[in-house]
Amino acid sequence: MASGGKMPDVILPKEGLLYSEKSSLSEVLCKPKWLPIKSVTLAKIELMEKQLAATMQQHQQAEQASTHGGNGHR
Amino acid sequence: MRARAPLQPQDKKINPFFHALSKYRRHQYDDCLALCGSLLRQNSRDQAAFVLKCRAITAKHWLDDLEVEVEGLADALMEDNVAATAPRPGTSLQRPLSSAQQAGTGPSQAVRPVSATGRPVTGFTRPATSARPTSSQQRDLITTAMAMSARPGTAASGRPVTSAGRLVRLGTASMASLGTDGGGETIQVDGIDFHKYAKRPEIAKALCDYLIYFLRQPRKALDLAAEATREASFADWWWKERLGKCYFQLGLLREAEKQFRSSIGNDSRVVTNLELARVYLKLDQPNAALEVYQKASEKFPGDISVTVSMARLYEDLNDSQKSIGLYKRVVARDPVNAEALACLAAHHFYSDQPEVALRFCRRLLLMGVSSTELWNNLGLACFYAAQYDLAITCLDRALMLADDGVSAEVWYNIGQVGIGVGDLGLSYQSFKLALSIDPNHAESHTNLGVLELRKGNIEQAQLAFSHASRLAPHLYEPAYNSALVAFKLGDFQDAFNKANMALQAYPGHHESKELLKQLKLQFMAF
Amino acid sequence: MISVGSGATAPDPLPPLEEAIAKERDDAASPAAAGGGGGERSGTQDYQQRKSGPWLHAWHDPVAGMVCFSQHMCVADLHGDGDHRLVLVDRKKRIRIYRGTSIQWEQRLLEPPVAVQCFYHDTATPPIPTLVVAAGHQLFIYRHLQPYMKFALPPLPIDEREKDTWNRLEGLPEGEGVEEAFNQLMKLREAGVQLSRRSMDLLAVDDVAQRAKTAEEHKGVPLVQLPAISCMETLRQNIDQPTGVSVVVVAAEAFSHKGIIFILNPHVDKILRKVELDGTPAFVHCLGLYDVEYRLTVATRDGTVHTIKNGALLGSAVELETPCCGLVRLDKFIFVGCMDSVIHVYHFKGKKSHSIHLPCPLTTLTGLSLPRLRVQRALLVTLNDGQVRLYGNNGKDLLHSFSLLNDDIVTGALFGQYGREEGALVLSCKSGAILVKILSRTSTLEPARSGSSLSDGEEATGGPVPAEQDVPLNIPKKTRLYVEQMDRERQSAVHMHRTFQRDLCRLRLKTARAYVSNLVDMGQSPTSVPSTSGAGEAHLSLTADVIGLTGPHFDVQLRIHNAGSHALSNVCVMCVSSPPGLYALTPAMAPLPLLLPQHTSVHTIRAQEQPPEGGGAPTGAGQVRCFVVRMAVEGRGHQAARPLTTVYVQMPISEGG
Repeated sequence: MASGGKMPDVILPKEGLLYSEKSSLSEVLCKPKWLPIKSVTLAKIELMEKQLAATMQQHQQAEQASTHGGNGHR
Repeated sequence: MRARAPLQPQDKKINPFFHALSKYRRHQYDDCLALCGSLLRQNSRDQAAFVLKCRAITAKHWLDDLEVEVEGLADALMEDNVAATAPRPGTSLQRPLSSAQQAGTGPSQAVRPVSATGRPVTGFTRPATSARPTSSQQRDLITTAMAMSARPGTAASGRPVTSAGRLVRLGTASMASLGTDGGGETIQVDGIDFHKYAKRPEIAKALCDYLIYFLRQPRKALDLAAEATREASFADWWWKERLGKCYFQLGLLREAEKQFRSSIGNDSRVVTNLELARVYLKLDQPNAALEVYQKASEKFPGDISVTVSMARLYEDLNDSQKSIGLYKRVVARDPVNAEALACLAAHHFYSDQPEVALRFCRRLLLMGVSSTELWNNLGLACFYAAQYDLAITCLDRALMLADDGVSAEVWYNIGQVGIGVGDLGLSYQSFKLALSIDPNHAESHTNLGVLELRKGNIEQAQLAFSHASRLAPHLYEPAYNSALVAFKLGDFQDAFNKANMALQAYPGHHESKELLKQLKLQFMAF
Repeated sequence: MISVGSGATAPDPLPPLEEAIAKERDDAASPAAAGGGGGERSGTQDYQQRKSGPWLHAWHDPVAGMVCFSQHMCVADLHGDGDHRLVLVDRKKRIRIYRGTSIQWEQRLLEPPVAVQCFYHDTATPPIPTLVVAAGHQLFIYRHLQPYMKFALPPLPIDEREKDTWNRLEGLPEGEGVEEAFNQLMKLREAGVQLSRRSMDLLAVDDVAQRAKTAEEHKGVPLVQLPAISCMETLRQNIDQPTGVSVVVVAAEAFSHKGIIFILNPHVDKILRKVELDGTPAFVHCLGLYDVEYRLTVATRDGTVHTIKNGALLGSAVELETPCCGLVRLDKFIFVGCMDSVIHVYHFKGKKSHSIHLPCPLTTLTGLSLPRLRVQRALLVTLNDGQVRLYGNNGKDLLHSFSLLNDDIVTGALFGQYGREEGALVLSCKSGAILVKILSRTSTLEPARSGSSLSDGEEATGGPVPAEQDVPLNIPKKTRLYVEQMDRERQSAVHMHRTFQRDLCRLRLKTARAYVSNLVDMGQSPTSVPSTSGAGEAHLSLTADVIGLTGPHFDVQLRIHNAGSHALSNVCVMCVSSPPGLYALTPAMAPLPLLLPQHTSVHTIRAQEQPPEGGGAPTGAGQVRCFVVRMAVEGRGHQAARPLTTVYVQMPISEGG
């Protein structure tokens, strides 16, 4: 404990520099979501299915238009 | 030569068949079909035109078999092809090598989210990546797959549940699309005598492919191929390979295996090896599949498909180190392989190197892949790599391109950006928007709950957390948050149950363990 | 004496255990293993390294089928030939004696045993010990592997008044007088009198009719209270030699919450001393000589540790927080293992020395004592996750730890001389396996210094430095890209910031716009966002699950959660299919029961996919839209035009039908 004067040599311990402290618990957020890229095949399948759905829709509408006495669907 | 105009009858400068062939080679299948149709109308016995028509239709609707892993929910449930009921770790796709958080095999679940099957969220989806959950999750197949297939708006919303159903739908879809194109009548296969055709291998092969890839009727194709291979006195690898394929689609895996092996014996090709490995994967024997891949890679050194398949398998087994190493090799050889790039990007993003992920995403962009997912990933990578000026524009683009289901995810990520910036109002609104699009988005519920907690609405936060953890039991965050809130409110029993649920989802979660320790102290005080 | 080195020739073939040990010695003597430290063994292993720390693996019988606790095991030289046998008893009333690696003798017992001990009853030559098995209230004595005699502990004195009560009941026919007897006994109990088991049984019965039956069962049987033995130990009488004559110390439960310790003479026919104490004894340890000075440490089931010195119960007792599950005494220290995964170490005079915290609950606690070593004592703890830990220096140093394979847990452990081996550890496992390990001759029970034979890679934990000190932090490598991007940031910092802020503002605007439009939409048909609902008064949240694999029958399960603080009545749920007619919904409209606050009610709707009109191709999946609506109440005016909450359920594609 020198009062003024030159600083004594600093001696750092070789061990014990790491302290493990458990802080108080807090809520945890979900992580950002990386979306998987779709493969070409998957894209193609989806396209085909969409087209199928579209054609079915058209088909149905055409049928309904032609049969007037359907079951009162609006 | 006008490329797109249909052929005029008076234009007789070129031989129409040659014309059709040239269209076929240029991948202009519609024109080719039109020409073939007219040829066949003139002479219904024109074999060349018939063959070309078959080939054109097949090529138009061709889907890479190896990509389409037709495994639906019902298949997985009623699977009795799987041999081992209690497999050792690493020998079955249901028990991957390590839980997703063993040191050295990739970032832990605390950093990289886990999908409903218990594996880390992958970078690349193929049609039906395995629906089988890892058994370490202790949930039954039904809940998992129902959760997976119940997402509104995604392609999976219409996905049939068995592989046979899927095939039928594809067949119907193909036929319907052909019908609306007006490219000609489909070839009637019911009346065809396979025996006659088997003697003519060129025609038979075209017909077989037509049956498999367009009409999706593996049974008929099987008959034809069986006849043909007999005619070829079992020496043609091609027929055996097609036989194997048909058996596989019909679910007769052992026969498929035999056919593939004998085909490889005749003449080993990459495709046959890959199909054989796929049989083993369906039988849930990843080690056998790995052997096949090893042999194939020795025979065909440097072949990309083999490397990619191996990398996929390692990823399914949760061995991300090997998987990433193989993907790196693929990229070194083939710099435009989308799958490898995507998986590497995902891996680097979650390994705390978002700038590398950014580079991979840019490369994908340069290749012309322009989908919501890619823009979303670009936005995230930019944001976390501190390239803030680019981040939001990318997310904007992603929103623009998004169709219904995915836009929920994009809004969720925008919310994450908001939290990162500190703008909680933005985050709140974004999460609410995500939920309005997809009420089953568990992550949005969780984060919304956390924001509500900060605002002080404990009730609503609890509701949100319980909602989220019911929707997605594989996530540990809502369970842990729920436990923490219960603990702070004094409901120790509830907190204990929820903390155990969180540990079930992610056994290495330090905070849950800490919470349990504190709870134990409380319990022992009685 | 076993000669070390290959080619050991003995006049008669060695029994298998010694062979195994000799092989270990050979391996250990080879230079590869010198210096200790987890030498890898070649050859087939179905177990961990054959030399793991100080333990040599001697024998493992995975299908022995005996699950024993520590009190059920003991080793003794039953035939006086220097070859110690292992005596095991188990709750299936079997007693088995092992010699080497095989069973020498097996018999059935009359009652499930509590403890087994071996001791010398006199100083004959050759010294043949007595084997005593405690069961119930009796001690069964075996000599020369033959049942020799039986000693029953005397019945305990029962209060006169209680005897009277029961005698009175005797004379009465069935059913009468039971109530009076009951009240009488109740009064006696409140007065603090110790009642017999029979009375306690009667008092425990609530049902009046049952009481009469219970009383009837006991009629005709003489009322007698027998002590129930809980543990047994031996105490040397006057010479501190292994073959010295010992007395038997038996701890028993007298009445409920009262225990009694009997000290019996070496011939087990007379009670030398009796000590009563509060609490049922669970573990007993003896130290000293009976004739000179001795101390008994008794741990009771309610978490107290008493000491009895020379037959007198000492006043100072150790109170534990949690019940005790193991007691060991080494020299001057008492080690008490508790149910909260801690081992408390007390000085025998009663002062606490320190505690050892374990990562998981412990199953057994045994002491090691080997006079030939410099450090003679060590503590062996087995844990609930299969670990077997060795502590030295009065428990302050963890010397070594190994784990059992196959998730097995040790239920009983015993250290002593087995065969001709002095330091043998016998473990009985939960799966019924028996494991014998031997403390290697070159090991010292000292903490690991560099090069010591004990360190198997284990650090002696302790000290202020946390173990994570040596683990490097998982920081990713700095890539060149990272550096380039940092450069970019530095150069165009202002531009980046401006662009970012501008974009952020635009994003905020966009989000706010979308949010508002969503709210407005929600105002018309609130979708189920759990936190708020557009209707203002009621806080309802509605979620739906679809049950059904392939259809055409599906069940839509609706969960309605009332998040408010008031109960909601007069609500009903209505469902519509879209496209209309695709699904037949039963019931399409259903009134809901009273929705309690903070309660989720579940409601199921059956949806059946209808085949399309005119037999076309199936169109694919549709939606089922469910609304929760307030019903009109008679005379109350208009029905609310807006539903309280809505959910659109996407149905899966049906394949059947």
